[in-house]
Amino acid sequence: MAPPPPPAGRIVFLSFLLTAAVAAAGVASAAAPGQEEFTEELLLRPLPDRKALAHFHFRSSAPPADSVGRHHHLFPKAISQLVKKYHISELELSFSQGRWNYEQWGGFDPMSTSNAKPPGVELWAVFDLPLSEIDVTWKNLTHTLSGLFCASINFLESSTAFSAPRWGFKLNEGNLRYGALPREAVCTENLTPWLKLLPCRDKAGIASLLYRPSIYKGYYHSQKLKLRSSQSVGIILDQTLTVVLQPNTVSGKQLHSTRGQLQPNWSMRHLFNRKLSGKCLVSKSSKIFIEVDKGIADKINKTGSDLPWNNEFFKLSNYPDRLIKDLNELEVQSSSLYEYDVSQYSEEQPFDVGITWKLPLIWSCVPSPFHASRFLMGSGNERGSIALSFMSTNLHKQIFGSPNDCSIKAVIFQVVPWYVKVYYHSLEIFIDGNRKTISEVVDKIHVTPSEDKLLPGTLEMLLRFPCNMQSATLTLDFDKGFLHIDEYPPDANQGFDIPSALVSFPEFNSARSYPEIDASLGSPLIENFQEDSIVKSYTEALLVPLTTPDFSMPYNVITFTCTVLALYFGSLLNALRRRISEEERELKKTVTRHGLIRLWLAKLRGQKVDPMESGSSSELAGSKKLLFKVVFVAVAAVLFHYFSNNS
Amino acid sequence: MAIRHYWPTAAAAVGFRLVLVLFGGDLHLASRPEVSTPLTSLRRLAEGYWLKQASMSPYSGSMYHGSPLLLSVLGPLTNSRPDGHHAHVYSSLIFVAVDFLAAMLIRATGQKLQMARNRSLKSLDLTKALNNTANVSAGDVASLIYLWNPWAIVTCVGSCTSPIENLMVVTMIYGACSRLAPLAAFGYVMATHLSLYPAILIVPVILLLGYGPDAPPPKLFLLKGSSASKSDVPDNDKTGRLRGVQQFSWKPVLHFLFWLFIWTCYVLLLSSVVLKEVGGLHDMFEKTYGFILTVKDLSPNIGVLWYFFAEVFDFFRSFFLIVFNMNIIFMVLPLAIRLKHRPCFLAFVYTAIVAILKSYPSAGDSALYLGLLGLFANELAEMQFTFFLFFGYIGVSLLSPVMHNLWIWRGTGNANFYFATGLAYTCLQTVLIVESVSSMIKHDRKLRLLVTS
Amino acid sequence: MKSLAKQDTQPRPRLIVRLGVFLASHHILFSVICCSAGIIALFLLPSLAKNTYLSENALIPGSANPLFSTEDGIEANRFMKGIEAVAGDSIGGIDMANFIAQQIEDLGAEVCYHKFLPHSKHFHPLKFFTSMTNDMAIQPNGSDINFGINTIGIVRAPRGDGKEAIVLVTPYNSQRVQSNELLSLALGFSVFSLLSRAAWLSKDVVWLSADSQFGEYAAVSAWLNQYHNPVFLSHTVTLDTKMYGANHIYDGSSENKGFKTFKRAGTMAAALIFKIGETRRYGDRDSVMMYAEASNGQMPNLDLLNVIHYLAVHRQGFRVNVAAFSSLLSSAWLRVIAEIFHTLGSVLRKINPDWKLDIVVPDYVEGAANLANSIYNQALGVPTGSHGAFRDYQVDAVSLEFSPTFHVKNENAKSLFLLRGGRLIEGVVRSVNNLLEKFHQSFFLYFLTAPSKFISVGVYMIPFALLLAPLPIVAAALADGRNMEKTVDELIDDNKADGITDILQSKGGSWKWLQAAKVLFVIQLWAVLVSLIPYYITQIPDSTPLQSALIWIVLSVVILIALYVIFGSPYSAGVEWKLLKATMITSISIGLGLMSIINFATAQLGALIVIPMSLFSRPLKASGMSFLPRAVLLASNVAIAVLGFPPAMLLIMKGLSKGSWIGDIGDFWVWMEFLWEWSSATYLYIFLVHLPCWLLCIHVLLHPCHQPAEAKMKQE
Repeated sequence: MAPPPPPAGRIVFLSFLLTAAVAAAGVASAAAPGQEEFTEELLLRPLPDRKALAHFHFRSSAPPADSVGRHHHLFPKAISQLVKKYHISELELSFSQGRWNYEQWGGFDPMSTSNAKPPGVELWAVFDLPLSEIDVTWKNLTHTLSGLFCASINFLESSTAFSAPRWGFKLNEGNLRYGALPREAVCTENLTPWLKLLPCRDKAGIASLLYRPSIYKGYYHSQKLKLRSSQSVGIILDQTLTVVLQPNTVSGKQLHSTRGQLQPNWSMRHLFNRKLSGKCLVSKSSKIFIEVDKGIADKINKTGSDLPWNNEFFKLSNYPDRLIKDLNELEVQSSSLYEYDVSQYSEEQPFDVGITWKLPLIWSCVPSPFHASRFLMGSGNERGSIALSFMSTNLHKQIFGSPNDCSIKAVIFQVVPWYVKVYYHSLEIFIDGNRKTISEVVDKIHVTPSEDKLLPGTLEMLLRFPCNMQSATLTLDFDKGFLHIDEYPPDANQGFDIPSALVSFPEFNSARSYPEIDASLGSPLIENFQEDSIVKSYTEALLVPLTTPDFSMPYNVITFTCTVLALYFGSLLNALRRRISEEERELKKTVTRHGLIRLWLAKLRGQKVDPMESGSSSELAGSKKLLFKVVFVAVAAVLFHYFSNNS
Repeated sequence: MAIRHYWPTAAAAVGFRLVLVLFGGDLHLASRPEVSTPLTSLRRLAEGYWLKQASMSPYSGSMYHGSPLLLSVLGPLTNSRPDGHHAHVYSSLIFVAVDFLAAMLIRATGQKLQMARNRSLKSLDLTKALNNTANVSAGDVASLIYLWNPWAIVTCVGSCTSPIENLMVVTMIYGACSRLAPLAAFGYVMATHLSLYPAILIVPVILLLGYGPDAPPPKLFLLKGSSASKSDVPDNDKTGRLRGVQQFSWKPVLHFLFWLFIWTCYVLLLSSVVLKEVGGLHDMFEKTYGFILTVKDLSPNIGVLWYFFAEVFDFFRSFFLIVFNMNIIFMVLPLAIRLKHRPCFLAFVYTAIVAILKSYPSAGDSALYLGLLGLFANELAEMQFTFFLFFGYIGVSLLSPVMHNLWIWRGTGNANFYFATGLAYTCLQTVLIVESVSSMIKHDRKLRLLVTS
Repeated sequence: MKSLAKQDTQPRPRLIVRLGVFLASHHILFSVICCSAGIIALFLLPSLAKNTYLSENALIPGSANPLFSTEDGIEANRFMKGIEAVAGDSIGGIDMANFIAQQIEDLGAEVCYHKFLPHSKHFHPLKFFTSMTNDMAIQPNGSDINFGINTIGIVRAPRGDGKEAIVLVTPYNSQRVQSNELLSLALGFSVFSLLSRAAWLSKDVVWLSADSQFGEYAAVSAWLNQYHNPVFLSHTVTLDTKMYGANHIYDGSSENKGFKTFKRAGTMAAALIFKIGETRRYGDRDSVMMYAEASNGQMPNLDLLNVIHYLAVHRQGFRVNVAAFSSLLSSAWLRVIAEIFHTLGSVLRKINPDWKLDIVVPDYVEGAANLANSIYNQALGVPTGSHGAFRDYQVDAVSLEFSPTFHVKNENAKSLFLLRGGRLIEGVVRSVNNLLEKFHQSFFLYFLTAPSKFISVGVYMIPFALLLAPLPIVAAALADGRNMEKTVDELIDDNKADGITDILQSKGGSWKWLQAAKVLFVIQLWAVLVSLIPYYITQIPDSTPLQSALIWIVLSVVILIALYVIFGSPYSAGVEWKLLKATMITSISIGLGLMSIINFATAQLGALIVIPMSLFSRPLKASGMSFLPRAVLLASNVAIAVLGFPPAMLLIMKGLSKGSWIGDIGDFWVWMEFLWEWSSATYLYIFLVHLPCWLLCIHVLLHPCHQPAEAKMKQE
């Protein structure tokens, strides 16, 4: 049952989201002068498990529609029409492949919170429309997008596929719609239309690095499109592409080993098999950043001084144009960005930057406060349980120190398809191995139960964990539904997916603060890093095997069932009308067909009076006859076969 | 004659139930599809109660499809979960009491029937037949059958609400037999409210109230009367009793209809009070009766309709829905015409037909009509194929869990396995009904022969 | 007259009745024909076996070139040396577990330990139905020292969504390490390291190195149980002394916790258990033994076996075997039968070329031996390896036991063997990895007569159906036969309408079998009690098998007598022996039908004993037969009654198997213990179907044949 939420916690929570929204608006207004703009940026970062992360960020912005007419120089017209037609105030569409590794690649930086997406397609949009029209608009929007990006986003049209979260995903007043397709396969046919939105496709500029084989070889691949539009700032379109690549090292084996050997050296040419020749000419700014993680910085210099581009551990191939430091709330340097400006490079002197390691270095990224993972329990095709487990990473000790009476908030947002029939009253919470009552952990819960063939179930929970908790587990029982044969996909025996749950920690904010630079510098990527963004992490998608009916049976089932019911009906009616006729027969005592019946009766009697044990002789007679018949038939069959085969 | 040591046996049955409820914690009967259907599952009731506590409509989320009254009665019990027992032990204790009550009512009904039978046989001068036949007391037999029927026990222990529905049906029949119009009306209204199908029992109830309990066909009394008048000793009181036997008395029927109205209004009022500000009566009707009539939930049960509607083509679905729902109505009139002199037996046949054809059948329904079958132990003494039926029922009830296990838990069988048992079970019930009806008719014919001879 | 009129009113039921009467009157002939046909068909099975084929198109075995190269072999050797060094100076198995975990972590894969207690084998005969639902994983708390440690490594598939997983299992005994177990660990590790670099994986790969000091099955089932139904109530596993000794090499608390937290990877698609057995001197080629039988006759999907067989034979050049009864291979009578079938088959082939029954003699003999073993293993209901644990969770799994022909010290032979073995496993993983849906295309119910030959359910049902067919007929003949006659003479009674007698006669006429049913009920109740007694006997501390067996038998006899005192002895109610026999036969047909669904092989074997026993049974005192057939019948009755008694049956089976005819009753106890420890449904069959049937047979034999009065009257 839902306990009345304590107002304090709620207000804190709201305030966080509100500040986030306000800050976003502010940044947007700052970034929107009079005419359309396009900026391109690329961020490279070495990852602890010998991989490299590349994050492309393209922003094209259009001023409010009234200032310029319906024509666009840089801004893609399709998008602006989309926004105008469907009155979208905010939209985010992401195609991802592979899982973001929250333990190795970090769970507490802007990259993981805003660019780590669940596998498959995720789409959410905020409309500024009256609530009645939103569902229809959403349906049209999905169709348009699926046409625009060559993806089956239109599966999100049916009401069983999308949901309307209130506060678990993003605070809104009922005008947000959220849908996810975990099974959507992502490949280059989705990338090409995405590139078409850029002013100079992938012909020039940073986008020219997107060489398909090297990108799709990566371990994680997430392409995202984010729209924000308002009357004041016009439309801002952010296109980001995040890939985790494996620098090809000298020796094939010991690929991931972190022990005792150098990190792999890599450069842009290594990673992409392309060289960068100059900027995209229409772009306002075109920059490349190399980010060195907090872990490395801590290892290299304990003092808060600058991190030189050529130190005892690694060396960048070029001298950076600028060094941007990120100071966290304790005013110590956490991570640093080396900025390169692509604009002065050209065809004859292409730009290439790389990192060369001198000494082996082991570091780890900052994890999210809890490592959330989700799995299914039970076996068999009748019922099961969803379990959500939280493992503390002891982050709060580093941030709050370690007061024992403090508590950490976590928001869970989970969409469950209707054929997974969740019993919400069976919610159980175990903290460090002993059961807690719901009221002492759950601050606030909002459930929209799933309607058969109509609505997916949505679960939004605000939990409050004690700081010194090591592990917590939530379990929910469910029954597996039985579907009509038409509702199964062609690969019915693969099972059905439960889309990823989203776990966010409203008290933790992954924003970077770069005190040296001001927001008007015009680097959208850094602006995004500076935005207040709550720490989020997606859990795994789950596979629920459902039992299937026999797809070849419909005719048999119909005939059998109807036969049985006809048997019931006919024999009962027969039993009812029998006596009438008998009585009639009794009344008129006329007998016809005399002899035959006597003969018949005789036969009946004859069989009646032979008991089993004494009737062997008659049986033998009968059996002889039967045997003879059988043998005759067999011989006939054999002869028939013989001749048929000879002829 | 009465059954020897009846009370110890009955007590033993109740004790057995209690033992199962208290100590058989890990039987997992609640999850067996033969026991609990989407309509009667107590787990779903708990979910509905939780939703209601969370100030949502208990019917939102197509989980709960039962009555709001049950929700407010049983809901609080499902909430508390004692350790060491299974979740719904308190409600199961209630169900034990309910079963015992039902058995007692069946017994009382049986004694009423017995008295009526003796009276009518005496009036037909068949006392000889009466005395020297093996004349078991039907009430005891029936109640014992109901108490010791493994399906009744499983239903009672397996935490589903069908014992209450059965109790309501039995209450209605008892009330009608002993001409207590308010009781009959209450039972009728509640049974119809809980599970729609007992609505067709209005025919036998009215006949019971009108004609009184079962009796040989009125023709016989006429014949007897004529023969008696032909015989030179005129015998008025017998003819008077004959007249009393055969004429239809309207007063109790009107009384019953009046009470029917009262109780209906009362139940609707109560449920609207329960459902206040969490969805209204319309929601209730749609999610209970609508759910029953349009077979929405395709999860397997011992019937055949689940697989039928899982496989049937969508554009035929509505047609077959109409056909199958009509199928119950079709048989009501012919049976009523044919067996109007035996309303109690008519009620038994109706319950059996409902148990075959209802959209979510369960073992509880069968337990009910098998218990009622015991009421006619004397009339059905020469029923055919009883051997076959008995072992057929045993076989099916053993086969069904195994097939389900093979299909659902092992994954080596498929749905057809389980469907086959459903088909066999329906055939068995059909044979039972047909045989019982025809042997009852044969019994009447035999009486007629006795009278005429 | 009236009856005549009545007969032509409804022709249809008449016809049915006449058919029934006809069959009933010929039931003896019918049953003889059916039973003999069934037995013949049973012997015909090996020649009816079909060749296996891949029905799932998604797994395309051997289509990709194996990547397992000699470097991986070198890797395996390195691992081998390392773990030999560790195993040399390790007291408990913990150091090996740490070494494996260390290696896995160096590969960059995730690793975790799983500690489990020895599998406590309780008496739960019904576990077959409740196992999946209600047994929870037991986690050892810090107190007890005696537990095993599995080491689990998980490779997350790059670009995969991690919804499915493939499981590889290599069991090793951490207490007594042997060189071949270390070799299998090395093989597993090399395959795992290859997979950790593979870019083509779409399902995660889990490598479970199972600590089989309590038996392989215990380790694997404990891990699966923890994987599927964990308990969260128990306190988190605290490091105890052993683990402290273990984890000193690691620095940083997070890493330790990472090692302790149980890691999971999606729904399991399939599992492959492989180990390297003792090396054989003889034989030219390295051979692979496939074990597939899981608990209660469950089998993995046939496609999995097909893939393994195809890759092993056609790609890697192994010889694949399935277990066989070696005694049958050299038996003369089987050879004779083979000859007969061969000649018959060739004749049939001449008649119609489509009938390919002429299977050559050695094939028939070998097929029969394999089939017998397959039936035996399924009928026993005990899994032949740790794959059984997977089958309980609907995961298809097979155990492979490599038996190499080289000596372990022979290095290059070993490396070659590692190469081929690794390629085989990699190929299987590839095929399963290609799979989009879970295994569902091919058969689940089949017998193997050869690694590449199988008998599907549709075929092997025939002999059983033939054996079962006469039972209902005979039952009808004995019980409902009377009813049918009654329908006839009822009509007669109606014509001469003396109603009173009619009523008198037919009151309860059709319910007479209730007495027999009561006897049956009492005996079944007794059987249930007898089958539950061991639960209490096992509570008795330190009792020898002989003692407990004797206690068991005495208690059951006492219970039987007590029940008769309570409910009255079977003959007191004056129940006719025909009805008793009919009841028995019906109950047997129900029981056999049930068992054929739970575990077909058991039902098949049981039918061979029970059906003749029940059909022949006839009171010794029964009159009305000429001397010779009666004597024969008596002899056969007594013989079958002796054979049918379970301990006697066991003794005879023992004698047949190992020729030692001296067996005490304690063996019986040991045997039953074995059955219920593995929660085999065969135990239930023996005590809930076979034993009551036997007792009823005895009752029928000893029946005092004084027919009740009215029955007599009816007979005239």
